[in-house]
Amino acid sequence: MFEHKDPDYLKFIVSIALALVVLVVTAVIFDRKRLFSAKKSVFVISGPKSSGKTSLFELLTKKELPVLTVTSVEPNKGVLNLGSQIGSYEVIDFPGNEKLKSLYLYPFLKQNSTSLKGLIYMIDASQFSSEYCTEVATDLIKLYEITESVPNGVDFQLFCNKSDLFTSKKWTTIKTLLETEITQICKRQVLNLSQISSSDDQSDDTAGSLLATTFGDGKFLFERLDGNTEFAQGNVHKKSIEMVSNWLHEKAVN
Amino acid sequence: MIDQFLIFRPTGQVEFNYQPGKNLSGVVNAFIDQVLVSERNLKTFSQAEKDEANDIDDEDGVVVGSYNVEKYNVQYLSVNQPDTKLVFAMVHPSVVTLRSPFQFLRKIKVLYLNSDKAKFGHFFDLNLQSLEEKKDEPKEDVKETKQDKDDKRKPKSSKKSRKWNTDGSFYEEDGQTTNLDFSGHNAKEAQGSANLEQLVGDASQFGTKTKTGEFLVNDLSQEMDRILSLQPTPKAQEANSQPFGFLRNLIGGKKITKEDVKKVKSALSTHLIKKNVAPDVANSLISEIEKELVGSTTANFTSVQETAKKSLEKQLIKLLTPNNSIDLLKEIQTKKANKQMPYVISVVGVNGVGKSTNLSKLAYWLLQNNYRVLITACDTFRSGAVEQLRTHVNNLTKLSQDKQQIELFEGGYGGADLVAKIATGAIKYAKQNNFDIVLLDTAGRRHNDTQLMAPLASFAKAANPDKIIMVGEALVGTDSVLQAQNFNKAFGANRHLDFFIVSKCDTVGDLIGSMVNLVYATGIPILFVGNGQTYTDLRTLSVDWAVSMLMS
Repeated sequence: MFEHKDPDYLKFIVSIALALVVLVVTAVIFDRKRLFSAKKSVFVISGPKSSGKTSLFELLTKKELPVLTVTSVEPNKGVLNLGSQIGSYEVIDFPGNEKLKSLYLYPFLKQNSTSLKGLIYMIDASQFSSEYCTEVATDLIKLYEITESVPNGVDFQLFCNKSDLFTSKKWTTIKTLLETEITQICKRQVLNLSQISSSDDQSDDTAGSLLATTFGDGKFLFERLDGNTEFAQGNVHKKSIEMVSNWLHEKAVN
Repeated sequence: MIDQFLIFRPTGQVEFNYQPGKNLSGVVNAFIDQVLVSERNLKTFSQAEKDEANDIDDEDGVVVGSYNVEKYNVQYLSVNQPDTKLVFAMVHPSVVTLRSPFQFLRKIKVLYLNSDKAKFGHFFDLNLQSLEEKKDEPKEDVKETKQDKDDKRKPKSSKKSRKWNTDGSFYEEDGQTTNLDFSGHNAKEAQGSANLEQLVGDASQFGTKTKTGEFLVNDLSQEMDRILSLQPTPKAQEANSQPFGFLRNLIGGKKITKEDVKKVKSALSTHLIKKNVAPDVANSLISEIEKELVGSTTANFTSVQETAKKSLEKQLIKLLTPNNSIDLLKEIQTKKANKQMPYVISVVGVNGVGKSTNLSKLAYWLLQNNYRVLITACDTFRSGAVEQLRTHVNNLTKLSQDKQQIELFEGGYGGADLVAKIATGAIKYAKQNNFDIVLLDTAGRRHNDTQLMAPLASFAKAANPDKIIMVGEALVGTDSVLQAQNFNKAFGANRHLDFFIVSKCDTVGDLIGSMVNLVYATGIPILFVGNGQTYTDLRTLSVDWAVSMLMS
């Protein structure tokens, strides 16, 4: 009786082993990277159009400036090497076009908000007009809505590019201008019509409630955000980005 | 002749820049914004079929085209293959017409992809010379343009491999010869011209033992010919040649071929058409997806169908997201701060789409924000139009805290000339009586009746509204494409619609395809969505909502 049962039993074991082998082999072949390595921490570069994001990206990842850059249509992904002690991080530069942001940047932030080490937001300080200010403020609100939903938020660095030109505004001026503008936009958002949604319950007013805590004396203040927002200045095109690299080191160590 | 020639990656880095004069990257950036990001190629069905038959692209993932910005013309060729993604763009003044620019671009493409950087610079210069040289020979000019015409009709059959002689001149040859015999041609040519370069070229052909370095020009042109002639070799069919290739359908990592896309294509287009998207729009959208998919590989554990669906979703997000967000309240505030009141908003549309209803909804919202609103009855045509508005105004007066906040401005019924008069009168009245906002209600009109549409131009000129809104209903199907296009054209060359309100969204459920039609036809964003009968049933559009409805 024992001998009779044995071949069946063996067959069963063999078939299971075979299935396991096939599974492992296919996993190794198709998805080596994703299965066996933990998610890398990411730094994101964002900002309005032609503020110098791609140039900064190239400077950070390849240590040299490209010949010229044009408007990006796709995100740039690269590895940021911060020396042997700290290790390397992924850095992604997202295009500034409004359509492309809703295609690449926002979904990415929503999915990877926990592995996000920090966000560098580039501003062209030499063309900081009132329209530009509104654009940046609206954009920042959209980003904060996503990043502030994570506990402790995400750290931002607002990098004022081309700050050495004589037409440029100082970062302190830019900061106060942005704070007033964000305050005004938030106040308007309450007055605006709500967005259409399938359930149509009007309770999910995320924008107002999330940023409401950041208001001190009826005014938006960067200091009150969960995530730390620092201002920095320099000029990517002249390779003066010490403040960015210092910030990156600091964030990477922490 | 060419002001700038750029080779750049879609990620923004410029790999090669030829720039004899000033930097025109602004032109290139405008081109990228318009063409690469938000291009909408609305093809009618017959056109699409014709394209299919012609097969305009010479290779998978290669697209050529041209674009006009201000005084410049951009001719481009984009390569979208999994291992190489590049755009070749050539900027030149619109007044200069280049002959066979696309052949030039194709040639440059082949050279760039098959040579190293140092050599490519020389190749480019050589080609540029030949492009400019041709200009001086009027005889060839005629021949070339004729050929160009042929080129457009059947590019595949008339494609010729072009070969360079030592002096930079060229000859063309049908077919795909891979081995070049230079001696014969050179000997012939040498008799004709006695320029120095050619003599040097001949010398090398006779086999003198000079160092190759001395004949740089000759070497380069020979190498260039070699690269160009190697190119037309037919691509090896690699689909399914791998072991267990069929498994890749399930597991992913499959290279998508044209046939694969064809299978999914019809499923996707019926899905879209079922959602009330016009067939032309659906097909155009799907041909974009086809361009994107062919040659790419599927992600892990996804089938071709799922990949195509993802791609469609992406296209819809890209389409429906406006290029720059409109903040009406902000604009009104700024205008008020500058003491330039009133802010004028005009509503246009086909009969019965809900112009007056949505106008009153807008008025209600503005009243809630404490603005003084003057509603103007510019519909002097349909009987009862003024009375309808008066009812709304009476209701809204009762609903507002301050009874002086809203008024009706009317001028009775009459001809088309009365409309502009009422509009200007209303604006004047609003200025005198400190109204913040003037809402102009116009008569509904059929979009394909030129007699009815013509007064819109003079109306827009007289009233000069800050915003012209077209109300389109979600119920209408295929016709929405033409409605949007015709209304957008009706205000003259310098004025177009500012945004859409899509009404009656509550009546269609998830069949909101006419939103896609409106935006695809014009590129103008949808700002508000009407979803009910009451004054509060006005919402801003959420792209996520719209896309999830369309994909469900």
